[in-house]
Amino acid sequence: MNRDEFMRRLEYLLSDIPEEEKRDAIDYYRDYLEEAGEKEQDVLREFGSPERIAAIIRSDIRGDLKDGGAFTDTGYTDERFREPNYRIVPKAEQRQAQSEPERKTQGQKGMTFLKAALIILAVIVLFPVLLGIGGGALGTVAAVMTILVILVVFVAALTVILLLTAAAVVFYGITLLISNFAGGLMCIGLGLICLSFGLLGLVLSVLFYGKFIPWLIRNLVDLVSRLFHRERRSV
Amino acid sequence: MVFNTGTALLDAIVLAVVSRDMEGTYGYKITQDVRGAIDISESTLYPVLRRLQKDECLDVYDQAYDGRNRRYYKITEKGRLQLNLYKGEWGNYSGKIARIFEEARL
Repeated sequence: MNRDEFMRRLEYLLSDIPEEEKRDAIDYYRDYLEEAGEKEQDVLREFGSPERIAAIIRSDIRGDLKDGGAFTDTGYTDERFREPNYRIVPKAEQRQAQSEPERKTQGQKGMTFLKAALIILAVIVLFPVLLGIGGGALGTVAAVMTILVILVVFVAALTVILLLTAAAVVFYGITLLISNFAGGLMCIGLGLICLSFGLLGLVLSVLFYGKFIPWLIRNLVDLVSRLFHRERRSV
Repeated sequence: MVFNTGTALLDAIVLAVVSRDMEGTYGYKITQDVRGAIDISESTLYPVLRRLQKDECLDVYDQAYDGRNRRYYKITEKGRLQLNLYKGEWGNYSGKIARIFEEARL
């Protein structure tokens, strides 16, 4: 039985209770199945039959629902509404079922870097638009963003320049070895120093782009969504 | 002892779960949160939420979410008082039982 069949049957079964009670129950259970999303089938199985749900609602309206439920050593059940093939899915099994999507997200972790890069690009591209919309109010935010963009470019550029210089100087030193041994050696030494700074820059870049930028964007997105969320709520 | 019926304890648990969300929370999430602690069926909470709403311990409001309507439950002042009472009673009761066990000789 799918969701629509279930809801139609439930609505039919509740057709003789007060309209307000019926609307409330139907809305609740429709919402509930909507929220369940992929787990819809599991939830429907646990609901049992529409008859069972209708019986619980009727019992509540009659006022005798309170008399039946009881706490057991694991939870709360009402034996009167137990169906032959009905049981609550124990927590252990739920966790097992949930662990699969979790594994999937772990596999996607490698994608986060790419996503972060795309987001950075989007922020840079949309930067003037954002600036236009915000106007004066966003002035400070814009300033911070500008510094950030400069920093982003600077860190990457510096690393690339250092590494390229190192390679060039070391190569030049090697060619110089034949004609001017001491000079060549010094050149190679300078090149290696340059290389070490370049590698340091690389490590910093990896930390900066891999950790700091995603963290920053996550927090920014979080902040913005929270702001919007609150605004919607207060309306 | 207010927990002589299972209903009171269930009401207390639901009130406690709802009270954690200042903005309010919705039926499916409440159920999953309660299921984090005790086993209840997916269909257990509808009458409980409705009862608490009728007793004015919970307030409901509807809000659009993802192109449909979602009903949020929020604890009222009366609900908080009730929850506080439950909490006190539970602390009292479970404290006594815990002491008995502590004094037991094994």
